[in-house]
Amino acid sequence: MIEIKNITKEYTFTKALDNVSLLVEKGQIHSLLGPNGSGKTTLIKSILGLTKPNSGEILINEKSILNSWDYRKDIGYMAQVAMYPENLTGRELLEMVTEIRQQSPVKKEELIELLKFKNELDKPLKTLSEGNKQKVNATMSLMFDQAILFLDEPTAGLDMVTSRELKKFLLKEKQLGKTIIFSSHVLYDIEELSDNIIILLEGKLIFTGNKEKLYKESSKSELEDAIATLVELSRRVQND
Amino acid sequence: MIKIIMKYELRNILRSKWLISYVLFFLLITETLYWFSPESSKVFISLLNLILMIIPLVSLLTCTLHVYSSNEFIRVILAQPINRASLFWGSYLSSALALSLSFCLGAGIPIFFNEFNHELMLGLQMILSGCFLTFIFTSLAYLIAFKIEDKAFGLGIALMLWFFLTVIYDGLFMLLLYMLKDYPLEYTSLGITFINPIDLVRIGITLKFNISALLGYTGAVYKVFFSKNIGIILTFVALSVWICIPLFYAKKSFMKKDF
Repeated sequence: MIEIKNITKEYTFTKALDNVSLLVEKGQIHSLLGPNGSGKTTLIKSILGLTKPNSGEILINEKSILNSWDYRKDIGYMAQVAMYPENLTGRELLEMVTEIRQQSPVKKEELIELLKFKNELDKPLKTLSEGNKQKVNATMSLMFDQAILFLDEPTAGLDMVTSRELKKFLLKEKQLGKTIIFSSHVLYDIEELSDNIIILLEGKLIFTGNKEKLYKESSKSELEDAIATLVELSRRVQND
Repeated sequence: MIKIIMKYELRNILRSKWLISYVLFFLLITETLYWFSPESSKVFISLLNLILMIIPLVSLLTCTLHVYSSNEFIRVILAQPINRASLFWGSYLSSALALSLSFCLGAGIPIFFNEFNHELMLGLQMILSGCFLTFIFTSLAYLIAFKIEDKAFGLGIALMLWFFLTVIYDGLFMLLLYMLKDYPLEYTSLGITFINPIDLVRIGITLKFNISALLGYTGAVYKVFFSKNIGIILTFVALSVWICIPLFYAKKSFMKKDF
């Protein structure tokens, strides 16, 4: 379980997170939504220790992550942009992460087979298409048996077939008790995968709950309308 | 952990085309200098001028760019169970070693074959000085790239720093000597030399060629100082300080930086 307590993060010109408190339940898929610049990436980065909040606390399994790094052995992170050392091959990149983590990549072969990029593994990363780089990215992030998975726009750049396979894989991981948090702008993915929806707006948490709660609070029956209505309503409240 | 980072970083850097060009550049230039003049001192003086210009420029620009373009990758690696210090040292040492190794191969091979029975020690001193400059300007590049978020601004600062240390500093130094020509400035100028690593390497190597007489009394003071053990030790310490101070602040920035 991830517990976020009163997190605030300010950059020079913006307040990316404003006193955000949140409980991320174990064994569910949580989708992190919000307009551009709402603080989604900052929230993920804060949990990963890439960004240090100005105030507040983050607990993973009841332990504070402040000034700690070994808690990340239980976390897999799939970045939105797959920019890796261009002269390394996909295989070398996977080996590098395996050596750093000192964990067994139990799902490596399964993912390579599933995402169908075996023939691309020994080519330098600079020669791969964006889609194939994203497949290496996904494999690198998901091949260990981590309890928590963070995915930033996981299906961006993937073809429909691969995207479908990846989503199936994530649902299977959920069945195994994994906690999955993903940010996405693809409504179909959100609808298909999410058990819980978290919406941020201008650094503030404006909603957390399941789809039914979202439809009820927004008085809408379509996901797109429901999110847009809630964002608009919160914007008005914030401006007032 | 540092070893793992270095293993893959070195693999990546050593395969890049610009690094191969860097080796070939020094190989061709050094061999061409020997082709035109078999006299060691002339070759070394010409090569020294080139080293003092090219190594700081290449180290500053390539390493600043390398760090900026690695930001996304740094983010992914920092999301793994690794402490930041290991990643910092692994990355810095890989960049500095790859550049030093390229310079050693490029300039070292012709020097070794041409100076085997002549001035091999002086040649080794040149190579060592080049490696020191690489480590110094790589640490300055890391400091700039981790301190300054804006890539264009960071590259601008790197270029300005290079221009200042290679050109402007000497101009200001000359101006100071000219303005205070009525005062005894031998020891002051010796002190000022230590502030700029490029000048320090230049003076340290140039004085090996028996041209100190051309520098008058100051040259004599320099010659005496740099041939004593204390002079050699102080030069070594000063160059090491030039590596350590920027590196200390670069690491401090890296440890605190939001990625």
